[in-house]
Amino acid sequence: MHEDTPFDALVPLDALMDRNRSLGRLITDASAYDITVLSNIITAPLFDIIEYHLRSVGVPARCRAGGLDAFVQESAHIGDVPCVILWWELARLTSGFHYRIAMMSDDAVEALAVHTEQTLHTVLSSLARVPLVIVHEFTATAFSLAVVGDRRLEELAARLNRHLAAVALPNVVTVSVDNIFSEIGTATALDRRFYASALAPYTPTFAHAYAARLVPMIRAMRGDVKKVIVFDCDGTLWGGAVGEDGVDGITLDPATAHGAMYTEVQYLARALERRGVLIALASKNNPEDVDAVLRAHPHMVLRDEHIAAKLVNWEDKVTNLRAIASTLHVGLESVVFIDDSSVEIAHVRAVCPEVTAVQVPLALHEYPQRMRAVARLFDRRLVTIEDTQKTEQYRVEEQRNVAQQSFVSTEQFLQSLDLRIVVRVDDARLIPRMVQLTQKTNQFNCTTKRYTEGEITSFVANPAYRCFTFDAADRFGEYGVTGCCIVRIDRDVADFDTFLMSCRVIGRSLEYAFARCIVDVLRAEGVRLVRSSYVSSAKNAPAADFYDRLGFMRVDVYDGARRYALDCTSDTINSVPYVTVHYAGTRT
Amino acid sequence: MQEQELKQLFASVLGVDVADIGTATAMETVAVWDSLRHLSLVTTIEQRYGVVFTDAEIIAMVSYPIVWATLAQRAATSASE
Repeated sequence: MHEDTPFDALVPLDALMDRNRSLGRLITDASAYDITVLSNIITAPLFDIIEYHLRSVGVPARCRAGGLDAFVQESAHIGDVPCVILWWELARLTSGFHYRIAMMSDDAVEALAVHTEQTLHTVLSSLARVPLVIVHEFTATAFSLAVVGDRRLEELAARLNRHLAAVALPNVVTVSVDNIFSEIGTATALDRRFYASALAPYTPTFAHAYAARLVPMIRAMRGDVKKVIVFDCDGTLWGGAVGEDGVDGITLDPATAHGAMYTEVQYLARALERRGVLIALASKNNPEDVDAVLRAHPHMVLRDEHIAAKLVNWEDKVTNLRAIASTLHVGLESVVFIDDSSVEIAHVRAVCPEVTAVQVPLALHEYPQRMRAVARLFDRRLVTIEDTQKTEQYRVEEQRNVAQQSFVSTEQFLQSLDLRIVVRVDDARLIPRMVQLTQKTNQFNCTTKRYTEGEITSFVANPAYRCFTFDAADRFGEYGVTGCCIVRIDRDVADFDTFLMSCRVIGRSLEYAFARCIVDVLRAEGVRLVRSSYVSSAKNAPAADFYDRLGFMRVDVYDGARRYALDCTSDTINSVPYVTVHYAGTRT
Repeated sequence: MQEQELKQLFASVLGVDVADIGTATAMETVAVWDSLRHLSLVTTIEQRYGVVFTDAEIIAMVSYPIVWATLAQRAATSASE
């Protein structure tokens, strides 16, 4: 374990990114541990931190964000990945849900609850073959309305968590975000500036605390479970030095501030021991002094019968750790070592990097919390879930119920959403939004042309141009203006200059319904040929085959652009059965 | 505050060579500096220099020279207090 794991002071972000990048260079496609994060918020800015913590302990992690709020669609085609994280934000069950709920009827909330339960069930069924699915428990903490007497967010979170527990297959492990909030506080965990501007509410500090929970789960899944905890004695199990201070002189009285810290740590060690973790001692002392403490000190919690191996001598710690591992028949990678001496810790890290070496904090009151973080490394919940046969049984059983309780297909899910778009053209009120969409949209953007307010204003005013937009909504709420297409018309030929759609609505086939509507409008105006192009950028792969799927013909590749054409006198674009389109025309 | 230090920070966050950071470094010209990288850049600068930027500053900081000027202004303001 490296110095800057969650157990130690946090490394500055810029240095972290450098180190993460260099660790990343060592990863090959064959060795990579790919994690897909499905979420209804933006989580990608946290990936550096999450990857870094995993890579630091030897997990060649690569994080990838799935399409925003496309849980069902993404999970249906998840492919062969070892780990999926479902980061499902209650506040974003629909756009602005955390405040809109204040005006929602109980029936509307109920409908959303049922829909979310079905969605959750569908997604977990789709992910049944993924070895590890990490699901965040729902929480209302960040946006509670309880202060004004409305506890429905809390009740909904609790209900969804009960449902999650009921439908979770054995490959699911949950993470309590509330637990992280309790540890670091919502003021530290959330940055509301970035929630407002980018749907990215979580801070780097949150990511570090989150990684402290995630890393042990993933290590355990990879068979990397800690089995042995080795304690130094003086300054680690008790305060003072027994060789100097005598058995009666050491600090271990729970009635004193410092004594209580050591007592608490010993209780935590006993709790681990009861769950099958082996406890060992490695101490530079006279053996009879340590034995006397174990036997006779009134406040010792750990006694001889709890200790699996005891090496009290004047050898160096590395030699003793190796001896302990050998005696207990475990590899050094299964060993956690706790010591108060920075010199000993540094020595062990340098010579036996496979050992997780954790230093007792200088601020002693932090010691029990660090011990709780260490305890997570012994999490055995995951050890048995690789039993794929069992997973398979669950999966078959699941499918019997699936028809009633979840959606049988992505289409059925989309059907249930009652998706609607309203298409407008040359609406001057929407100029600022169109500018923003051309400036900010990277993924579903066929040509990635950036326009200023002046340019869009001139397009709207120019009779040779049409600026189409759509607003989208579903039965649970509105997405706002999320698509834009700028068309230049020359007699009976129309050129799609820009065709883009916000990432907020990717995965709902709205782009096809939008394109069909535009082509219908153009045809009615006398257009016979529609030409379009796809210009590849670093980010716009999601739009790469859009025109192919629409039925456009590939014409040629010219100047980096793939050019297409559609004869709209003979060719039509298929309608999307589950999207209702309303053409509002030009504002008058 | 050292200019070299800020350049190094930019290089680390954007994953480019520090020699490439200068007056021409801007969201418009550096492909990896998109809206999400911008967020990482802002939080990293805030952590390093112990400042919290306003929404307006975050939107305005679209180039290396503007970030440098914004930080210098902050430093001048706190020095005069």
